[in-house]
Amino acid sequence: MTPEPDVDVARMQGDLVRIFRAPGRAIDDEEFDLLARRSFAHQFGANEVYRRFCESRGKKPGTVGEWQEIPCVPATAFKHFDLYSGGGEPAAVFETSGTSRGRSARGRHPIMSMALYREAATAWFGAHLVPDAVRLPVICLVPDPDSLPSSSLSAMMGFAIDAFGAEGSGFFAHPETGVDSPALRAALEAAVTEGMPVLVMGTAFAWVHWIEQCRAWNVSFRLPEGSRLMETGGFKGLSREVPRAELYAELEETLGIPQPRMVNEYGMTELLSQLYEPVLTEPVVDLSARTHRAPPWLRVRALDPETLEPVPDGKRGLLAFFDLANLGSVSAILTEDVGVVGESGLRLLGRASGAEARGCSLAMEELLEEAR
Amino acid sequence: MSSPDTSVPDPAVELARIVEELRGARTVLLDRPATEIATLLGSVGERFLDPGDPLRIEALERIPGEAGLSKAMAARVVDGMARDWTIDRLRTLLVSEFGDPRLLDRFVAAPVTEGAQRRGKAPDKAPRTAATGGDRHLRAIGDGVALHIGAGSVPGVCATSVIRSLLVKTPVLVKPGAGDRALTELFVAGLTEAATPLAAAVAVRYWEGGESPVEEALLSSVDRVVVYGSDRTARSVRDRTPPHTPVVLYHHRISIALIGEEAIGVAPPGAAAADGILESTAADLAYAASTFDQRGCVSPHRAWVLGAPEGALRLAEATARAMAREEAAVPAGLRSEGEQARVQQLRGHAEMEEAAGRGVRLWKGDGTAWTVVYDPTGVIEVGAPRTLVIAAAEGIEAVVATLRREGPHLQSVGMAGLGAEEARAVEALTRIGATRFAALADLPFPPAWWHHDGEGPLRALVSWAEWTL
Repeated sequence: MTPEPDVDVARMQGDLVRIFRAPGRAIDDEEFDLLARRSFAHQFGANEVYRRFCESRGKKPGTVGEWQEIPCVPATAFKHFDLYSGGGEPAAVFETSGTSRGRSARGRHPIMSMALYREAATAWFGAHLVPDAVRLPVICLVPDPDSLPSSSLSAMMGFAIDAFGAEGSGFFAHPETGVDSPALRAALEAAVTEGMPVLVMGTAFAWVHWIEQCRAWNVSFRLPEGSRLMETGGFKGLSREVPRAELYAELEETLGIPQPRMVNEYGMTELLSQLYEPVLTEPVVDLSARTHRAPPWLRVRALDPETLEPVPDGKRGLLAFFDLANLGSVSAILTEDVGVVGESGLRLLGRASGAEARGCSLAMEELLEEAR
Repeated sequence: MSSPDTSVPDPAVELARIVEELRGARTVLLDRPATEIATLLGSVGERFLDPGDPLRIEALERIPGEAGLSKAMAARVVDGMARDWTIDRLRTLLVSEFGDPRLLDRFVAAPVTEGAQRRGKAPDKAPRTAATGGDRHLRAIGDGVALHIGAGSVPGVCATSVIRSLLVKTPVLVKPGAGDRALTELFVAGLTEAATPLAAAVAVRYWEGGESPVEEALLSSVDRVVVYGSDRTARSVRDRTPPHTPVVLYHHRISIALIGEEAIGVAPPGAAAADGILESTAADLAYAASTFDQRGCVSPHRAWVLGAPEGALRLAEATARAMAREEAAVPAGLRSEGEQARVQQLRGHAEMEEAAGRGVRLWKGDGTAWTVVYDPTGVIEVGAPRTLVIAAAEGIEAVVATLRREGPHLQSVGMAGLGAEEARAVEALTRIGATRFAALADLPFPPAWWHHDGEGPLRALVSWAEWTL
């Protein structure tokens, strides 16, 4: 029997902060396994729903041989259960994007410690968006965290401004009215005038909107050399979205930022760590050849969608994550996203889609999509 | 048996040429009585029921690969679909839709005049004046040429669509869904092989769908559009079709089952429960949910048992056994990653609900083959293949309250053992959008003359001319 792991949560948070602050340090399998089992032991003890789920699968701390055996909750579980594993009240509750079915249909991720989230998010963000360790205006096409406290993305961008932002940083969107195009235009014009490189960040939807606005104004920008862009949510193959190659080409034309300086972020409300394309430090010309890199404290596996057994490296599968930053909720999560895990990182293939294979039966996914 | 040449060297030019050729072939249809067309079509359709016929043999070879169904399911689907492609069934369809099929051939005196109806008199006693409409003649007329766009992987949908179009004497250009090519192409090949002139009035082609110039041009050049597909596809086609062109939309639908306690072995007061009724109901439910691997709009995803929770739980247990038997006899075919992912999410969620002590129970087959969930919470989402979510409902009002939001998508309701409640349930569900009520075992294959999504299958494809003498 494996010894009961240490479940002193305060000490674990301290250990994690030290790990987060050294994003360049690799964590070997043995160390990760120990950390993961400690995390599991804490969550098993602190979260009754998760404990019962694990027990129903015959898994509990001390009997789990290695971290891969720790039961994954389905991502949809965040819609139906309180998966909080912290003490007292959560510091925040992040919500997934909504549907017309109301708040009950949203996933809710309770956050034990915003400080821990800040550490996890900032370090890996910096390594991939600001590897040159400069301060620069960080221009965000999302609402600010105060006006949208339920958004993990707004919070993350707020951390980025705090850590890397120079004068001119800010949020250029509102929860109700969307992107504040005139203000954004003014900010970009100022950057061009002052010759100040900027970091611009937004969702693929926001960028599509911005491109259309620039077309309507018949304006484009030549942002100073050294500028870079982060785009998120654009990898999913929804038909409403512009294909990625097209989006990046149009962004380059509109903003004057070369495509090699555009970075895709993969994140989800249910995970407090993010994955990035390391293109600012390891340039890749071909968009389709890009991969995402996970921080050392997050492990990703590709699972056979039929059996949930791991597939060999290089084979596509459903993605399952173990995120140590999720200490205050549940670390092991099974998603509906598909990818290929390999030596060079994670190649994201998008949301597993069944709509194209279905007949005239309504796919619930589509119903939800229609309702958005 | 070879498939027709479906290559398209220059899609826009080629398709425009085909549309014009089809338009020219309309006389082939107009010159024949509708009943004769039914006979010609039926003689080809019946071949798919003949075990030794090359058309059926090739269909059964191709469907598993194209539609991702098992061989046994392909055979079930061909049997179910072709049952309605016989001469008898097609002639019955004509009568069901028009009363007098000659309405498709020429003007026919209206069978009952409005004036006579108002006064409650028999037609032959009504004064034949213009004021009463006594000399009113009607004619149902098809179109110059129609475009039918299929979708998905339910085999037989587009062949049925072709038959409907030809019955109303409209030449048709059809683009089957990726999983529906075999039966469509083979039906047309059968027409060609039979040397019937009808073959000139149908073409099967493929082109890049979506908002492409090719499709834009097509939508503007035909006289009616029939589209099967997602809500998004339906909306896109409707928005791109000229306002003067009728569009018949068969968008996505969802079907359910509603079961009374009599069907699960709870006898009404003073009566004895029928032997084996629970297993029989479960078998019918499993059959309805498994057919087409649950990809049909007629496939139930959720079942309610009116009455106490114990009844629903018993049915769920029995249905799990029946799903396993279905899987053994008619295995599930290939599932997409998305379908598999949905099954895994649903099962994980159900497991958590079960572990949380909320009363949920989960049964599952190997891999993602089948899943049954007893769900007293009402929170388990449906939409995964060969998956049934079963719950109890105190009364029909509770079911209506749950389904009200699905109204625009609600289609078939499979029923069993509702007894005296049946009429009330049917009325209540009709009011929120359901358009078909049938026995569980009849759900997968509605008869040819069913009101498809609430409209007559042939009447949706014609215009009416009236001539008052």
